[in-house]
This record gives sequence, structure tokens and C-alpha cells, in this order.
Amino acid sequence: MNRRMMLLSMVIGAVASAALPGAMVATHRQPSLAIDQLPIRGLSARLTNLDPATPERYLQLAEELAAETHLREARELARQLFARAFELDRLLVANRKSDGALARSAALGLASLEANPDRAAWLSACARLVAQQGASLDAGLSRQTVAPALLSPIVAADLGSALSLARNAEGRQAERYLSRPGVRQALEMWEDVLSQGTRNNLSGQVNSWMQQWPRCRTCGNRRIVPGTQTPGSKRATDEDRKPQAILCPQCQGNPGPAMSGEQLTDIVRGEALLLRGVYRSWAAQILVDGASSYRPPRPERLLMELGIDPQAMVYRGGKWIAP
Amino acid sequence: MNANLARELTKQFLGDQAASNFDPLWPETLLGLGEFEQTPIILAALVERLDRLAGFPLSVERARYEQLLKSVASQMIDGPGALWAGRHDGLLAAYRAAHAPQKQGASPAQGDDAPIALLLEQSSGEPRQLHTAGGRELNHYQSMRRALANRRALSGAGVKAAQASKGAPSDGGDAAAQEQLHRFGLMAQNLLAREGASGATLGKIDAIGQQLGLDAMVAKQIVDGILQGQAPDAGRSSPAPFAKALTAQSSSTRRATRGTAGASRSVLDSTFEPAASGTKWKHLAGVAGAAGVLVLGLAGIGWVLVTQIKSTPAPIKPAANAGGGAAGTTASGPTAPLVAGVPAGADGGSDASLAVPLSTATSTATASGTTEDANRFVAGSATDARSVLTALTRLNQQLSLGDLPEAAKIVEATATGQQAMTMLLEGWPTLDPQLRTALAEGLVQHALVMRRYPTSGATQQLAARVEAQTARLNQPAVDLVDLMRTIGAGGVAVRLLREPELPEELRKAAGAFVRNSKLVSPQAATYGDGLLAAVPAAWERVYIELINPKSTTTPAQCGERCRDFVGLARRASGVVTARSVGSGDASRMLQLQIIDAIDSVLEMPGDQADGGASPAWDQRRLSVQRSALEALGSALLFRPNDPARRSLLTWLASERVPSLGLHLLTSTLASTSTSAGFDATTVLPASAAMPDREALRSQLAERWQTPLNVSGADDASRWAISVQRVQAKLGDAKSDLERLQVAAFAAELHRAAWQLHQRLSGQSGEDASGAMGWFFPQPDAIVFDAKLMTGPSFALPGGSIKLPAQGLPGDVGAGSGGGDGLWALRYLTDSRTVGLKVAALSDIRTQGPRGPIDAEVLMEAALTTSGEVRIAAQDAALAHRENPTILQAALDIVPRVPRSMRTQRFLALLTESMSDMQPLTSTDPAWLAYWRKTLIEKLVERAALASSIGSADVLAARIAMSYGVMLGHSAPQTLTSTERQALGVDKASTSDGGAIPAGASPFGDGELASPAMLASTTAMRAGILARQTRQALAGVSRRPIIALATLEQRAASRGASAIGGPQAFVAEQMTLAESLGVLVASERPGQERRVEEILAGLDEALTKAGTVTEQIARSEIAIVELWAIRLGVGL
Repeated sequence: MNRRMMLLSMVIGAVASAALPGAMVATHRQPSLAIDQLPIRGLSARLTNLDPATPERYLQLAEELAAETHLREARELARQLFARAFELDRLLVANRKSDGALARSAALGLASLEANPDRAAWLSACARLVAQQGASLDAGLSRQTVAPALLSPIVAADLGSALSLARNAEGRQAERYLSRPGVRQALEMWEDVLSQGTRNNLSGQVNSWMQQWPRCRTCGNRRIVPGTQTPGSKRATDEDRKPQAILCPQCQGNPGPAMSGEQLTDIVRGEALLLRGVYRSWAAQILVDGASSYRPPRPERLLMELGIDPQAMVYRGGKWIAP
Repeated sequence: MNANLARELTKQFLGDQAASNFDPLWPETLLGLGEFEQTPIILAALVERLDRLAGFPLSVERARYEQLLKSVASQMIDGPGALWAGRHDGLLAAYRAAHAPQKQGASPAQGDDAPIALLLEQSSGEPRQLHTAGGRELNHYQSMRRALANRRALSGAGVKAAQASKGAPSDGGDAAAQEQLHRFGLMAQNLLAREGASGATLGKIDAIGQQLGLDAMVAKQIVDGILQGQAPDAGRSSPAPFAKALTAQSSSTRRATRGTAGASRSVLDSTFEPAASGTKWKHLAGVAGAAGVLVLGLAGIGWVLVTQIKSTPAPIKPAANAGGGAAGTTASGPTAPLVAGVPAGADGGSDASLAVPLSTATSTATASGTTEDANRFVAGSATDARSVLTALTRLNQQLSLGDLPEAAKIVEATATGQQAMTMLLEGWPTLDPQLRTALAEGLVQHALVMRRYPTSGATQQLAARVEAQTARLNQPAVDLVDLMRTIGAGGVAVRLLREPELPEELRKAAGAFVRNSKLVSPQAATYGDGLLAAVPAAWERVYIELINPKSTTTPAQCGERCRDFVGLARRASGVVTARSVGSGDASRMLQLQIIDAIDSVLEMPGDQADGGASPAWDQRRLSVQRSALEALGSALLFRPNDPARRSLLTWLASERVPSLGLHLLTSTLASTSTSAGFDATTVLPASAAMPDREALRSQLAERWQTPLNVSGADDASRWAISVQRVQAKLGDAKSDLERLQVAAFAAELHRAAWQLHQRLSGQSGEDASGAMGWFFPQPDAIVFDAKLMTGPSFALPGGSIKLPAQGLPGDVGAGSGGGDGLWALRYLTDSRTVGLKVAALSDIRTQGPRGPIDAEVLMEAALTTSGEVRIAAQDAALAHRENPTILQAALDIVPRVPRSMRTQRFLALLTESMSDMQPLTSTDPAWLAYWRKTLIEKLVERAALASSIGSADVLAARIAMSYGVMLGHSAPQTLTSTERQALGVDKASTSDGGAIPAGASPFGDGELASPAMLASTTAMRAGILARQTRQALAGVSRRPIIALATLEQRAASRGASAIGGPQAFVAEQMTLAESLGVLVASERPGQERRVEEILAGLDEALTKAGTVTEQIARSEIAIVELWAIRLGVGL
């Protein structure tokens, strides 16, 4: 089990009703928007009419929902549908009634929704494995090519810059970066990654930093303020005739919110993951991902890993149940 | 049709007597006839048989048997390979009509055959019958045999002239040209027989030749040959033994080989020169009449045959054994010496060995490794492969043209395809490789062509033939032919599966055979590759019988089966090139297969039904083991580089091999391999203890001048103890670094096992092995190295590695009392002059930043000022670019700095990425992303190296070096002395604890690397090793416990889900473990379950593992456990 994934699962809200033993993600966020509020025409009816015999309809609806990336609820529902489309087609592959193309598309769809690069890579590997040997694989099928749009390095760098600025009492500049397209959504989506699961309200913290530290109110980020050196300072006696200065008493010469080393470390790790750095050093990789374990792709366990009951394939009364 | 089935059907329809008279070697016995029968007699016999069949209800069996009888009759009339066609139906009808009144009593031969003769003349434009001047008809089959016996026909000017003619097709020439020559010969023969050699007749023949586009000289010489072959005494002078032999052997080389001895004096004359090898003669021989016969006698043997005939004038009796030639097939007369200077042409060792006559049923190992009992391979198909190929090629062409062919053509094609299948299943041991390949390709084309005629049933029939062999896989082999078919089916199945457009039924059938026989089917596999791959499956069928306590097969018969196996393995090995068998050659491959078989016989299990304690079984097992080891052991070669030497030394050192079995084996070797140093003193007593065995090992090693220490039991024991120690150590490992240390130890044991195996199998140089010894970490050395744990601690209670609570390594916080901010205060305060600022920057260049405040101020100066201050600040920053705090400061400030080229150059210098830098314009949207990514990568690497987790790279480098040795890499030279010490490069020791001599480090020399760089190569090296292991499967090829396709698919998918070096390494380790598991299971059939347990245990452990470091350690230990099985070392 991927330790980091487990931590992530703890901070993500619950969507799946049944948490399966050993599931990688036991819970999902609870949608706050009602199904009918999602911008898909006749969504409830279409969900209710889904039939496990036609997995392509699951896939089609999932793709429509996945297009609404700005809505967390739409993404979550798309994930549910992609996963079920995958499983239904995978079973057909096992019975030699499908070449796995649909399952592969569904797994790639899941990967595109995945904020966590580890899991996105795992899903893309499942996509590769589920397809029959005879089926043509996409030539560029890799975690790079299936990386979701929100993993854009530019957005990631903007987000990282916003965090750097917010930490260094450059709240106004941080706000400008956060206001760039997709960055706030990225923060919301990525806060679990950036915070390593140990703190689940990074976006709130960032907002707080920016409000409290638009600049250092005492030194204006100059780090020093006029003043007299404390006795014992070696400069006190040598430079009596010069203007005296001291480190800013507000920020201690280091403008920005007080932050533990652990917090700083997590942010660095988060950004490293977000930017998908490449490390030739094992030590660096272990430092970044906490020696996160490798999970071989296992298409047959995809639903379990996502915390979805493989029996619950039809949607009735607002729930996924067994047919 | 299967000989056994033919016998069964004969018994069912014609009674026990007919069945007992049936001899598969002499198909005519199905009709109750002997050889050289005239067509009316053949037809009479056929009618008699068919009439008897008519009394039975119509059934599939009856139809098949009728077809079989007709097939035999057609071949007797028209020669080997002839199919029952419409003209035969006409003949049969004519015969019935002619003999209807006399049917009750008169002999068919006494009836009126005129209608038949007339029919023969009218039946086709392709005259196939030869009539005497008196109207007496001689069948073509007979004329061919007579002609073959005529020395003048064989050595005549016609043959030589045709040989010299450029119009004659060269070896490997197209079938159409041969067909033309064949047609011409037959027509000329017919005309000459009917009209006599008058001028008019010769004119007609000349015209025919011109119409066919033949060279006039060639035509003339052929006619001359025919005329000479028609000498009245020609047929009568034919020595019966030779003719008999030829009949038995049809056109294949094996038959020619046997027949040549008796006919040597008549066949040869001085004009028959060695240069006239079979490759040329066979085409001319295929032309017509007498020359046409020549191909039957000479195909594939050429010079070897000729030389052999000269050297062995004594006649050889024809094979008497009917049941596949497995027993009782002996030759009289002196055993001919080996033919010196046998050319190793395209036919390779296989066919050369065919020419070696052996007089006893016991194989004799020779220096060439090709000697064997050729007489054992007389069973099999009775059809002429070349004729079948010609017909098949013609039919494939005709049927693929698109026009709707006549039904008879489809029927003929179907039957011809069946014949080709028969040749490929049963006839392969005696066909030359080119012919085998061509026939296999012809069959594939046939299968593809016949897709257009689904109602023909051709595909289904072919599939049924393969399915029949699949069904036989788990059954004991009943005779030689049965074994041949298993191997032949391997060749057919592997070749068929290569064809993407293969009909589905056939693909399923071939796939089922490959799957059930657990063949390794490499891509682009040939028919020959398939033969080789199927040898282990054939051995399984032999072995099933050996270990069957309830078997009624006598031990002697078991020995015969083993001898059959050796012979077939020899032929199968001979058809592949070195390319196909990896690093070894065909001889080595053969030896390994025999060693595998001996290995399983030595470890024959007890009677499972009786809990392994059945006295009756013990008695039988002893007898069976003796017979089997006599057969197999006598085929072993003990030349300096042969693997048998190492294998025997290993068996003697291995406690798993009972002394009794080794006693039997060494007893055999003492009588059959004296030249290899075996004699009465090398026979191990049946009750020998390990010291006795060790003494014999030493004795043999001394005789062979083979270093013994590399396979010593003591070394193996110590290695096993080291493995156990590593296994236990994993339980003690609480941190990532400790787990990586366990993995590094395991990798060294892995490498040591690999080295030992290389040397045992003779794949490493003796010098290197002698100098290095068998290096591996000794049990006492397997301890956690505390020095590797030094440095800032990042271990949290959960064991994961985290940055310290006070910040990144190298970060001395302002509140920590480390003085951070004091330099910043001075610099910021001394802002009045450039000189003061530069002086302050000079100070920090010397002392370095004390913490993030100093670093941030320095970085602001480096990136936001200008002139001297900027230069001095950048110089100071670059001087401390190893400090992660500097990089952290740069990361924080980079969103605020001007995006100029100067900035980019500085950042590139700071991150040591100048060579990789991609200059970006200030407006490039990727500017910030690029530099943040570059900075953060460098920051994390520097932070890691500054902490204790930096030792992870050292440990990963040790793993990389172990893998590098297995890939032939050498060790790092550019490591610092500290790094070399940490990696243990200079402190390696031999298995006996001694230091490794200078220059003989197990890590070699010369590699340029740092620990981090070496670490980054680990996954790649494991991947290469895994791929090499999978490639080795193609050579060993035995019952893969995981299908190769599955292995490949898993390997391809694993890499996609791995992020970072450690995970990528685990992915490759898993693939390597699986590949090695398949390899080990194929080499140690008795250990399949254990291998599967290890792989299943690994899978479970990896699923449960919480960290990648644990996964790495567990995977490496599993790999070592697999190696222990491969080496036969108990853990």
C-alpha cells in the first residue's frame, strides 16, 4: 500500500458509501452539489438508465462529466463512472468479448482526473495492461501523455510561486499568481498533495498568510529597522557614530508567517511532486516521496483501490447498488 | 495416419491376422502385398480389401480406412507421394469391370488388363506408366526402383550432362522447373516404352522437350539415361536388400542411407565423384525414370553417402522392427568407421550423423557428438517430402489464383496438406533443414490458401492433427514415432503461430499445443526452433513412463525410450543455428538437454501412492534408472568445455542427488566414456558418503584440470548461510537505510550466485574464476553499518524519512542561535557604499550563509542588484551552491527576479545545469516552470545528500555495481576514496575470507560514476538483466510457469506505473524474479512448486510492504532464493 496514498485518502472526503478492506482510498468527498445541479442535461435519468451490459454508456457519460473539470462533484461522479466502465469492459476482456479498448479509455479517463501523479501513473499502467495483446496501444501511452490538464507545469509553477511569495510576506504578489487561470483550482485540487495529507486546509492557510502578511507591517520586508544594538554586540562599540539598525522585531529579519520546518518540508515535497521532478539520486527520491512503495498495475484491483464496490454497478435512488 | 490407428483399423475391419501382418515401414502390407507388384495386382488387392470393408456399416472409421488403403495403392502405382486421384478411380472401375466375371476365383493378374492399360494411356497427358513392348505394364514405382539399381543409369552420361547443363535447376531451384523436367522424363519414358527408340519417337521427344523449354542437350542426355535404364537386365540385377531398403525408406535420406550399403558396389562407379553431391543429383534424379529415382536415393546425403558406401561394402539388413524402429533394428556387418571430413554444410551435424552407420542399438559417444543409431529412425512417414512439397506448391499456386477450381483440386490439396503435415510431424528427423523449412512454409501457405475453401475441411483436419498431439502430451510415449510427433508438433505449432492470418481453428490448436507443452515460442520462431523447444516436452513424455510405478513397460524398454529421446534431441538440436540457441551452439544445447534429463532421472521420486516406501517400486526404479542412465549417460560428452563436466561435479557435491543414482551413472561412464577419464576407479560406490563423493570430485577435477573450489560444498554452505543471515536481517531492519543495506547484501549474494553459475556452466574464463574466487559477503559480515546512518536524522517514529523539524538540512534557523541574520544585518546596514557591500559579500563568500535570512539576502543581492555588487553576490552564492539553503532562497525569490539572460545564466550555474539549459525568452510562459523545477530538483538532491538518507545512494550504488558485474560492467574508478570505502570496492574478500588480489576486484575497474549516478543506473541494469534472462528462456525452453507473452506484457506495464529510481528498480526486480523463476522452473522441473511459492510470496510481500525500500529488499532476497534453487543449494 502506498503510504502517501493512504494519507491522502484520509484527508479526502467521502463519496463512496462502502469502504472496502484494504482499499487504497477508503473514502471520497461528499458532493455538495446535487446531481441535478450539474450541467449535464437529464443526468439523473441517464444515470438511472445505465445498464452494465452497455459499458460504453458509462464511459460516454463519464467523459461528459469529466469535461466539467471546475466542478469537484462532476469530477467525482466522472471517476465513479469511468471506474465502472473500466470494470465492466475488463470482465468482457476476460471472457474474450472485448479487446479492452473501452477499459483502456476508461482507465486513461481516470488518470486524467487524478491529481496525484503516482496514482495517475498507476492508472495509466492499468490501462496498458488491460488491453489485450492484439489491441493496438497508443504509442505515447505514458504517464506524461495521460497527465491531467491540471498538472500543467506552468500552473504548478504559478502555484508554487504563490506559496513561496505567501510564505515570504509577499501577499499581494502571491494573490496575483493565485488569480491566474486554474491556479486556485489547482490549489484546491492539489492541497492534499502539497500538504502531504497531514494538513488538510492548505488553501485556507495560504489565504491567511496573504491576509496577515501582505508585507511585514513593521519593516516593509526590509528585514531591518532603525535601532540600537544590544550590549555585547561586537558592532556596538565600533560603529557608534553610524546609524544603528536591528533585525525587524516583527519578522526577525525573515518576513512571513512562522512556519515549522516540517511545514516547509512538506511544501517543498509537494511542489517537487507537483512539478514531477526527475531525480537520479535515490536519496532525493526517497526524500520527496517518503519511500513510497511501488504498486504494480493490477487491473482486477482497480475498483478496490478506488474504494468502489465492484458489485454496485447500477444507480438507483441516488446510490450505486448491485443490479 | 497414425501407425497404431492404422493397425487398430486393420484389426477392426480385416481381422487380427491382417493387423499382425501390417508393418508401418512397409505400407503395402496393408494391402497384403510385397514390393514391386504390378498395378493389376495392386488393384486386385485393393478391391479385395474394399469389398471386405463394404460389409461394414458406413462410418467415419471405415471411410478413413478406405482412404488409407487407396492412398497406399496410389503410391504403389505411381510412386511415393502420389495421391489418390480421379484417374485412380477410373483404374479401379476399369479393374472391377474387367474382373467382374473372374472375381470369385481367378487371380487378378490373370484377368484381362487391356482396359486398364488403355485407361492408363488415356488417363492423362502426364503419362505415368511404362509399358513393355509386349504390352505388359510396369508401374512407375517399379521402374524407378529398377532404374535406381542400374549402375549405368545412375552414372550415365545423361545425369552428368544434365548436371552440367545450365538448364538444370540448381539446388533450391524452383519447383516449376523440376516439374517440367519430371513431366518430360515421364513422357519420354512412356513414348520410348510404347513406340521404341525409333527416329520418329526421338523426334517426338525432342519436340516435347522444346515445347517444355528444355535445353536440347539436357533432353538428349535424359533420353540416353532412360534408354540405358531400360536394359533388360537392369531391374533383375537389382540386389534385393537394396531395393527393399529403398522401399522402406522411400525418398528420404534415412532410407537412402540404409539402402546404400547393400547396393554400394552397384550404385557407385568411378564417375560418381564426391563433388556430385546430393544437392545437384537430387534435381536431376527428380527428372524422370532412372534419373528420377536418384533423388530418392541421394537426397540430402550427397558426398557423405558416397564416401560411406565406399567404406562400408557389407550389406545392411533392412529394418525389421515395425513399431517405430525402437527395438530390434540392427545392422549386420562391421561397424563402419566415422567418416572423416564430413562437410558440415547446410545439413549440419544432423544429416552428417545420418550417414554414420551403426551396428548396435547402443549409441556411441564420439568426439563429434553426432554418432548414433541411425537405424532407429526408419519409422515415420512413407511419403516423399519433396514430392509433397512440389505438389503442395503447385496446388497452393493454383488455388490462390482466385478462379473457382474443380472440386478434385481442392480434395487433392487437402490430402496433400495432410501429407505435408505428416512429414513435418513424423518425417522431420531425416529431412534436411532446407526441405523441412520449405515444407513448413508450404504448409503455412496451404493453410492460408485453404481459408478460401472452408467446406473442404482442410483447416479442421490440420487442426485435428495438432490437437491429437496436444492430447498426447500428458501420456507416456509409446514408441519412437510417437515421440517424433511430439517434437514435430512443436515445430509445426510454433511456426503456425507466427502467422497472423492463420485460421482461427488452427491458431487455437497450435496455441493449445504450445500452451500445454509449455513451449517457449520466441518471436519469429521457425519450424526448427519449435522442434528444439519441444524436446523437453518429449522428455516429459518419456519421464512420465519412467516414474510410473504401475507401468508395464520393462526397464529395457524404458532405456530404449531414452535412447529414442537422445536421438531425437540430437536431430532437433542439429537443425538450429547458434543464433537460435543463444550463446551456445547446437552441440551444447543438446548436451544441456541430456543433462536435464539425467538430472531428473537421478532424482526420480519414490512411489507417491505408497508414501515413497514401496519395495516393489524401489526395485523397479533401480532397474529403470539403470537403463535410463545407460542410455542417457552414454550420450554425454566430457570435452573440456562441455557442461557435463561441471554438471557431474555438481551432482557429486549436491546432497539432493542420491549416491545410488550417481553410482549407476558413473558405472555407465566407466564403460562408455573411457577417453574422458572414466574407468573403474571413477565408479562411485552405491552407498558412498559425502566424503567419498568429494574424493571422487577431486579425482575427476584433477584429471580434467578443472578448478574445484568454485563449486565446493563448503562455499555453497557458506553462501547458503549468508543468504539465511540476510533473510533474518530483514526482520531486524527498521529504517529505510537498514532495509537498503539488506538489499545490498542480497544483491551481492545474487551476483555471487550468478558468477558461480557462469563458471559451473563454463561461460566464464578459467583465469578470471581462478583469480577472483567465489566472492560473496560472508555471514559474519552481514551487519548494519552504523557509519551509513550518520548525519542529520530524518527518521520519524513511523520510520519514514522526513526533513528535520527545524527546516532543510544546512538550514540553521535564526532562532537556533547559529548566528543567522547577523551577516544580513551588516550587509543591509552597510548600504552606503558599493565597497562596503562588496566587502560584506566577500565575508559571506568566506564564511557562508548561516541560515535562511543570510541566504535570502545574499540571493536578493545576486539577482536584484547590478554592477560589482551583483558580481560579488553571485560569486558568493555560487561558492556555496552546495548549501540547500541557498537553493531554497533562490526558489523563493525566483518569482520576483527579472527574467533576463543574465538571470538564467546565474541560475544555470547555481544548479549546475548550464549544459542542459534551455534559454527561454522573458515572455515565455514556461520560464518560471522551468526554473522552479530545476531549482527544486537540485534543492531536493542537495538536501538529501546533506542528510543521512544520502547513504541511500551509496547503498543503491552497491546494488548497481552487483548488477553491473552481471552485465559485464566494471567498477567505478572516479569514486573518492571515501566512496570506494563506503561501497566496499577495495575490501572485497574471497569465500575463504582472504583478500581479493589486486586488480581482481569483483567489481572490476574503469567505470566512471558517483554514487548518485550509479544509483540512477540500478533500474536500467536490472531491466537489462531481466531482458537477458527472458532471452535465455528461448534457449532453455521448457514448460514456462508463466507464459512469455504474459511476462513481456507485465514488464511493459510495470515501468509505466513506477515513479522514481527506487520504484523503477522494484518494477524491474519483479520482472527479473518472474523471468528467473520461469528459467529455474524450466531447468528444475521438480522445483516448479517451490519456485511458484517464492513468486507468490514475493507478490504478497510487495503488496503488504509499506515502503519501497522494503520492497527492494524482499525482491532481492526472493531472487537469491530462486538462485539457490538453480544452483541446487538448500536454504
